[in-house]
Formats: sequence, C-alpha cells, structure tokens
Amino acid sequence: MSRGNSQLGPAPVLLIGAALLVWGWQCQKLPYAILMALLIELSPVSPWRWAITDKEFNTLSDFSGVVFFLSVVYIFSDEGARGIFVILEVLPFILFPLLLVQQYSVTGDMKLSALFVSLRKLDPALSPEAKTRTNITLPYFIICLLAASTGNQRSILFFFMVATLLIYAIFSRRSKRYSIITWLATVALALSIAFATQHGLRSLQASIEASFLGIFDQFMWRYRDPSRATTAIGSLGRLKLSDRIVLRIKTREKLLKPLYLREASYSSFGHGIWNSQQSEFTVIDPARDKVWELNPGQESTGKMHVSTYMTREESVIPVPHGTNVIENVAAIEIAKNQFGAVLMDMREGWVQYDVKYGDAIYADSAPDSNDLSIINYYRKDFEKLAAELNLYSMSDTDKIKTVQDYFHNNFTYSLNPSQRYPRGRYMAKFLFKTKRGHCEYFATATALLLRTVGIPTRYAVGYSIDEYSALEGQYIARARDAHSWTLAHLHGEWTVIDTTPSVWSGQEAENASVFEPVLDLWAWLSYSWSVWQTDDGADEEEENYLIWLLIPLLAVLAWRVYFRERIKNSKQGVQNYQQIKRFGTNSSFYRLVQFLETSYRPRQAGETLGSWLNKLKPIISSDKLRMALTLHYRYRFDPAGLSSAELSKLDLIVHELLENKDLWIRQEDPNESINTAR
Amino acid sequence: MFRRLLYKNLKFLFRVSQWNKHRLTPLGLLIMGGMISSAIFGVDVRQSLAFYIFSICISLLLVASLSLISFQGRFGVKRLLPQYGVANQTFRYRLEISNRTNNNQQDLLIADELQTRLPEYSEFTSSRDPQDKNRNRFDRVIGYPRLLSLIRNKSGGVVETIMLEKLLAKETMQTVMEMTASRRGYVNFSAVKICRADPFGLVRAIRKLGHQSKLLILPKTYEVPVVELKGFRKYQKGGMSQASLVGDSQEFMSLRDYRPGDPIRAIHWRSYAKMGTPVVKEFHDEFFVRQGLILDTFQEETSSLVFEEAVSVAASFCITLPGQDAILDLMFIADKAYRHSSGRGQGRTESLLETLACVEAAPAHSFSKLQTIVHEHSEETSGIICVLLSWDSKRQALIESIIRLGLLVIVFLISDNPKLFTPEPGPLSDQAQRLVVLRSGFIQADLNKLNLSALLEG
Repeated sequence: MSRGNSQLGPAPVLLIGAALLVWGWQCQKLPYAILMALLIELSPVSPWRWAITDKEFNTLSDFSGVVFFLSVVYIFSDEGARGIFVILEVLPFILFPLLLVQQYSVTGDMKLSALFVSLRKLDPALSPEAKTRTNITLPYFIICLLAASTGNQRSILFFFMVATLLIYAIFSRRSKRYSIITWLATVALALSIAFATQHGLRSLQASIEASFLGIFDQFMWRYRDPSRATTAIGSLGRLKLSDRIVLRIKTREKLLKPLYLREASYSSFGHGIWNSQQSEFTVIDPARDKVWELNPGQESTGKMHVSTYMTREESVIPVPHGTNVIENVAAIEIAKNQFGAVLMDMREGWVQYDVKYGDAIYADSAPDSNDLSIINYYRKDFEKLAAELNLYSMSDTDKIKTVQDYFHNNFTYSLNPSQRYPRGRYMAKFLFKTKRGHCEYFATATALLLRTVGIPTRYAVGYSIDEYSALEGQYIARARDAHSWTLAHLHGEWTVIDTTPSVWSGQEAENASVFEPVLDLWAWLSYSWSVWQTDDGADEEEENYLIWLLIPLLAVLAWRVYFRERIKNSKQGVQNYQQIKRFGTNSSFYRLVQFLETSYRPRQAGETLGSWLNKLKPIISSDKLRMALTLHYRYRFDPAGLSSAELSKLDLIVHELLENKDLWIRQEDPNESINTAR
Repeated sequence: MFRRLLYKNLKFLFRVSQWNKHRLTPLGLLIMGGMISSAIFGVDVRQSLAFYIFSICISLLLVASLSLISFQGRFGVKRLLPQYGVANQTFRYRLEISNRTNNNQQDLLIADELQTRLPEYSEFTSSRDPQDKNRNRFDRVIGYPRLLSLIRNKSGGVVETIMLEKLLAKETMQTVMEMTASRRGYVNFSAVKICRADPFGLVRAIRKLGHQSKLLILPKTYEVPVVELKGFRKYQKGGMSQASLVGDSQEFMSLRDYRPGDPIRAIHWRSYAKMGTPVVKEFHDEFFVRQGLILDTFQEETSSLVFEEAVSVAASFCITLPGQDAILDLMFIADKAYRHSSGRGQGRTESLLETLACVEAAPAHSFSKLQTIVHEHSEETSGIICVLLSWDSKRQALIESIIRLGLLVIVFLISDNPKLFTPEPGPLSDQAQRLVVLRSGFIQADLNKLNLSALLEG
C-alpha cells in the first residue's frame, strides 16, 4: 500500500536523449542535439550535483520564460504566422537549461511553483498545489516530439520513431497485472489503429482542401500577379474581403478625393480574366543609395510615405499613378513593366518607402491594338450600348463624360452577385438587365465600352484610399478597399476613369466587424513593433540586437547558478545519483539493523537507532556496536562524511559482528528480556 | 451576463478536470496533452508531422479505454472514522476494503469521496479567498482558483488517494487514508472509488461504491493565555446542583430541623440520635467564578474568513479554562440565543467545541438578543471575554452595558480592516488595554504579543 502518486515522475533512461536525437535529425540540428542528449543522459552516472534552491529554480524558470517571450516576439515579427512552427522547433533549446539544471540538481525535481509564478506566493497550508513537486522530463519529451514534427524529413520513418519512443515511455509504467504478451498485443493493436488514422487524416485534408480551398482563399493575403487578374465577375457567393489593414499612407496634405494606388494594369480581357501577356519587367538601376528613378527627369508634384505588407520577397507594390521616384527603401532590386506595375525585391513583411509622383502617367507604354480589342462574345452587346448612348458621334471627352454619367445614373453597387447572376452572359446581364455589380463589373464594362468607340483603355487594380486613422495619424487601406478602375488614353495621356458608384466604399465598410477598432489597435501595435524591429536602415549586425540583449541576461544567470559556490563535487562516498539524494543510505550498518529487526524487535516508525538499540540492551552488549553506530551516524549525517579508511572500518565492524553473533548477543530468551526492558 | 457565462464555463472546466483526474493517470494526462497539442499543430498535415503524434496518442488512449470494459471487480467497503477531526489539520482513518470475487486484484487506486456541492453563482461572486491577495490579477479576475478553494471548503477537505498493490481473492484489507480538513463542521463522505488502470497505465476503470458517513470537524484553535478575570465570586442560584463536587460547597453553616425535601445525606445523624428528630446540616450558598465568553456571530459586512477566525479564537478560550473551579459560559446568537457552560461538572469542553464546530452566522436584526442574554445572566457572571467582528456603535453599546453592570470585560476584536487595527476605545477608554485587536491572518502572532498582566490590571 502506498500513497496514490499523482506526479509524473522521471522519464526512463535514454528516452530524453533519443527524443533529442530525433528532433536534431528532423530539424537539422543534430550536432546540438547530440551534445544535449549526452549532457542529459550522463546526468544519472555523473557525480556532479548542483545544490539548487527553490528560489534559484524560480529564477531559472523566469529566465526561460523571458527567453521564450522574446523568441515569440522576435520570431513572430520576423516570420509572421509561420513563426508558430519556428517557435515550436526551437522550444527544446529554450527549455533545455531548466531541464539540465533539474537533472544535475540534488533533488532531481522542482516545485511546480517554479513553472507557475501564480503559485509562488500561495500559502502551502491552504493551497496544496503550492508545495507540489514535479519532474519536467516527460513533458520535455513530448515537447521534443512536437518540435521534431516541424522538421523537414517528411518520411513515414518519423511515425515509427515517435511510436517507438512513446511505447518505450509507457512501457516502464505498465501495469504488472497484465502479461507481457497481452501488453504487446495491445500495443500492436494501438499502433495499427494509429497507422490507419494518420493515413486517414492525410486523405481527409486532401478532400477538404479540394472542396474549400476557394473559400479560404478569400480570407488570405492575395498575391497580385502583374500579368493576370482573375475577376470575381460571374462568381457565385457573396464577396467579402477582410478588414485587415494592408496599406498605410502618410501624405503632406489632406486628401480631398480618394487616392488611387495602383498595383498593376492589364490590357486584354476574356471570360472574367484580365491579362497583360506582353508584360516585361525592366530592372531599374538605383540613381543613388536607396533612390530609384522610374521616369528620370520628370517633375514630381507630390510625395507620400507608403507602408505595405509584402507576401513574398519579390512582390508588386502599390504606387500612385505618375510615380517618378521611389526612395528610402533598402530594396535589393526594383523593376517596372510597361503597364505601370512596380516590382520590388526585398523581403516578406511590412516594408516602407517614399514615393514622388507627378500628375502625368509617364511610366505606362503607349496604347497598342490590345488596348482596343474586345472579346467577340460581348462585341455586339457593347456596340448596341454605344449606339444607344450615341457615343459614336461624340468627341472623346464627351464619350467619357457620357459613359461616366450613364453608369452613375443607371447602375447600383452590389456585393452580392450570387442572387443576380447564376451563370452565363453575366456582363450582358449586368449592362442590360440587373445593372448591379461591384467595381470589377464597372471597370471592365467601362473599359470595353470605350474600346468599342475607339478609345484605348486598360484595366487597373489597386487600392482606393480615403480612410484616415486618427489612431495612426495616417491614411489606411484595408483588404476590402481593394478596387479596380479604368485607364483611358485621352489626348495622348492615360487618364483615370472610375465609374463605380461612389457608395461602394461605404457599403463595404457596413460589413466591417464590430471588433474592428480593437483589431485596428492590435494591428497598429504589431505594425509599430514590426517597423521598429525591422529598421531597414540598420546594419545586419544591429538587426540581431535581441540576441545581444540576451547575453547580459545569460551572464546574470550564469553568475547566479555557477559562481555562488553552489557546485559541489560530492564524489566522496557517493557512487551514483540515488545515493546522492540521501547521503549514507548504503551504509553497511543497515545489515545489522535488518538482522536485529528480523530476529528480535522491529524498530518503530520515528524511533532513532540509538533509542532502539538501548531497548535491545538486555540481549546485546557490545562496544563495537556502539562504535559502528557512531560511524554510521557520521556517514549518514555529517556533511563531511567518512574517509575511505573510516568507511572500511565501519564495514569491517559490521562484518565481524554479523559473523560472531555469539560474542555480543546473550544466550537467553530474547523475547522475555525485551518484555522486561519494556 | 459575462461573469455568469464565465462562471458556467469555470464549473464545466472543474467537472472536466475532475473527470480527467480520476479517469486518467498522470501519464495518461501527458498523452492526452500531447494529443491535444499535436492536434493543434498538426491541423494542416502539410505544415508539420504532428499528425503522426496525434494518431499514436489518440490510438493509445482509445485502445486503453476499450480495455477497461474487462474490469468486473466486486468490492465491499467500510469506513472507520475517528470521533473528531480538527480544521486545517491532517488526520488518518481506516478504510476496510473486501474483495468479494475469486480473482486477485492488483494495483488498485482507492479514492474516498467527500460529498461536493458546486457553489451557486451568488456564493461564487460573494466569496473571498484568503489566498487571493497572493494571486495575480488574472487569477483574481477570472476566479478559477477561488472556485477551487470554495469547492474544497464546501466539501470539507481533501482525502489523499492510496495505491493498493494487491488485494487477494475473498480477502479484506484495512488501508490508512489521510484527510486534511479545510473547515469546521460536518463533512460527509459519500462514496469510495476503486480504480484500476489499463495495460498501458493511461486510463482508469472506476467502480464507485456508495458508502455514506459523517465526521465532525472541530474548529482550529490557537495557543491563548489563560485569562483569569479578577471578577468577584458570585452567588449561584443553582447551588450544589450547579456544581456538586468542587469549590466552597461543603462549607458548613449551621444545623436546622429537617424539612420535607431535604436530601437524606444532609441529615446530621449524631444530632438525630441525640434529639430524636431529624436534623440537617446547612451549608453556605454557592459562590464561585463564572466567566462569560461572547462570540459575535453577526457577520454583516465582514468576510466569512474573519468570522471563522473569531470562532477559532473563541474555541481557543474554551479549551483554556480559567482555573479548575471556574465555569465558562459560551454565549452566542444563531437561529436563537445559545448559552453553553463548561467546567465544574456543567459540561465537557468537547461539547463546547462541538457547538462551535457548527455555529453559523446570525441575522443582523437579532443583535439585541445578545444584550438580553448577557443581562439575564449578569447576576451570576463574574467577567466576560468578548470576541467581536467589528467595533461599531451597537457593539460599543453592548460593551458599555456590560461595564455598567459592573462586570469585567476584555474585548478581542478580530478584523481584516486596517482601519480597525487601531480603534477608538469608546466605552473602554478608561481601560483601553482591554480592547485587543487580532488581525485576521496574524492571530497567533498577535496573541503571542499579548501582555497578560497589563490586560488584567485594574
């Protein structure tokens, strides 16, 4: 009978080492893993022990917590959502100091309060959990497995490795009630189910992805392909873009009208897809350090500071029409195409740059036949509409004005095309029947209608900005502010034509989440942190300042742990880990105790050896026994222990006493004597 | 609304954690933890291989659960409890377990269950936990540790589980259970759970045997000095019947003629023989010290913790009787006015402690009853020790009336309110040393600092 143990206890030998090696192999950190595994697995046989106090465990745990927190912040800001796996991958590193110190500590475990700050101040008399002790080896083992699962070796071998380690971990705790055959059969059954389960999970994800990928795509960051834009024209389902802030603009003056920031423009349209297949990017050589002139020599009338989130290292960036100069950005390379798209090679995450721009759109190439082409499928529809509007007889300026007026006066903005356009000739239905749609309908219809009457046009996509954030003190654009408009070539210049009813922005905003202010605040804080942390002007060495920050913290910890005379070499008289836990428990005197207990009178709980032997005095008399007891007490409780000569002496006395019992045990009825003594 | 929802969630969390605690072994909890973590990290099988870990963990738990169906044991239990337990102390009792089958049983976990009623929302919001001041803001605001503490307090304590390595067929074994009582009053044992783990040692099969018993937990006590109030010895109306054995009761006064009803043992046989008519001995009336102990049960605005401390202080005075020939009268108001006596054959100290173990807070409107009961017995009382929860006008009025009756009084004011740590003595202005403040949580420390001679002066 024993107290029901609610504690995990230590991991079986070699388990942690093996788990660390699997982690090292998976995550390509094998040299570190081998070293860590050796340090842990040598701990049971090493004579070195630290006399670590509970308070020092607290300090060490706090330190690990701080390192973890800094890692989370650093990795998240650097890696984004993927950071969670990076953190998991390095977790064995972060927690290793705590495990190492536990393994080399005299106690071999730590108070639960070392891990949970909230338990530290509690009164153990009122809260039993405050005095609970724990051993972190098994949790660390699970963490190693989880960390290993983030690695690169995507082989089924990992499944078998994990299975072997987990089975080994539970083998030592198995109930002895079951035979080994039963146990192995049960394990085989469990592993068969596990193998089938992992296979099933993979198939399940594949089928889910096939069904729902399109839906998920709506909510994710979208990469703008400068050569192709798939519109939602004719799509089923309600269009809903997120409230996430994707762009921040700082201008000198207040914006009097919406500002268009273009990402790309396209010339050819067919069945819901705009493309610019002739798109060719030309790399721009920087004019000076961090200055790229897109249209050298052109006069700029405005300047703005743009912050945008790049989803790839090389990504199209939004710039205003007429951009002449991009500066103050540590880009690796900037290129532009003939359709005004600017491609920047830098890094993932938030990037900032200044843009100087003029009124005229110089960057875009002159129109060609593609800018006048209309898909035959819709040609008649647009010709019919142009005739209805008498566009053929008007001047170019009037044509544009008429078209703008026509859309403004007769069409409404709608985000819900599913109820309106089941299938088929959606553009014709938009023009003649429903007269409702979103910006892609308006921009496409305008572009094609103007082409019908001989005006070259292009379809532009980007953001329309008119929301000012008082919190941030700058203009912001959300994912839902993504917009499309038309560029018309008029009097030798490209001009922006936006026929989408101006209510569109308000309608989009109506769908905003009620938590938008809170989310905005969080977005602003994380953006600020990200910007502060990735100072593009900083040198490479300065970027790693967080690592340098850890050095003094590590130094303080080292001082606390190492140089306070806490390390004790307890080689004297101590052979292994178990013996160190309780000095002198291997004393040969216990052989005498066992003999006397079994032969005469058992020792009561709490009774000292001295008083017990006194009660046995009627039957034993030996100075040697008293001498042996003195040596045993010293061996057991004297911090200095016994010298090897004294230890041998103790062994010799015990041996002599046990061999010559007749010399010190009286030959009378022991029970009677003891009863008298009582 | 939000707090009510939160409270429901906390209760749910508690039930889940209790289920986990009994159903899963520590290793089982680890595997469950691994399963949940790997489910989170492995939700996308392309991102990580955590789904392998998930598959293995869930399969192990599933097979382990299936193997529990085979637990067919039949058991009998009998609880052998001590007469009392003491709050905040650990004590042991025996549990007799018999295996009624022909199969040997191995590795059984025995858990003795206390009847646990989850607190109502109002109880949860109004409760205070002494540990709260040591907790972080999150724990205080969310209140889960407070809920645990409240449940522990309601159930009355914690019983340690024990592991029974072997129980042979048809054998009965006695095991020693260890319980730490968390409060005074009755604790109700409801059932004994006998649990057996699966082959992997992850999940436990449970056999619950209903077996109800009750145990009275006496209040916690402090080490208090013996306070002998220098009061006058008072005439006791009850005379010998009140105190038959000790004191001045045998003091002879005179002889007189027998009157019907006089006890036979009072007859003076020698005079009877001489005179021929019965003559009886007449004794002095009874005069001895009778000390009152008033426990303030009007909790009102003070916390239940302070009330519990007050009960403990009162219990401490009960077990430290002021001399062999004195009587201690414990007075308090609960559903009605109570006056229990101990000493000089009036009653045992245990019975006072039993009373205090069950005392509950009284409704505020009945405070006047306390004054009435004191006045009723003022004639025979020599001095009074008051254990008060507050020092407001009505309590001061009570003390003033006691002083006016000519009784000696010492007030022990139990408080957790720093404003009351240095109170205005009020009616005790002439003898301010007799107003002693004991800070809740530091009672023993404050009692140790007590200057007894100064207290009893004057």
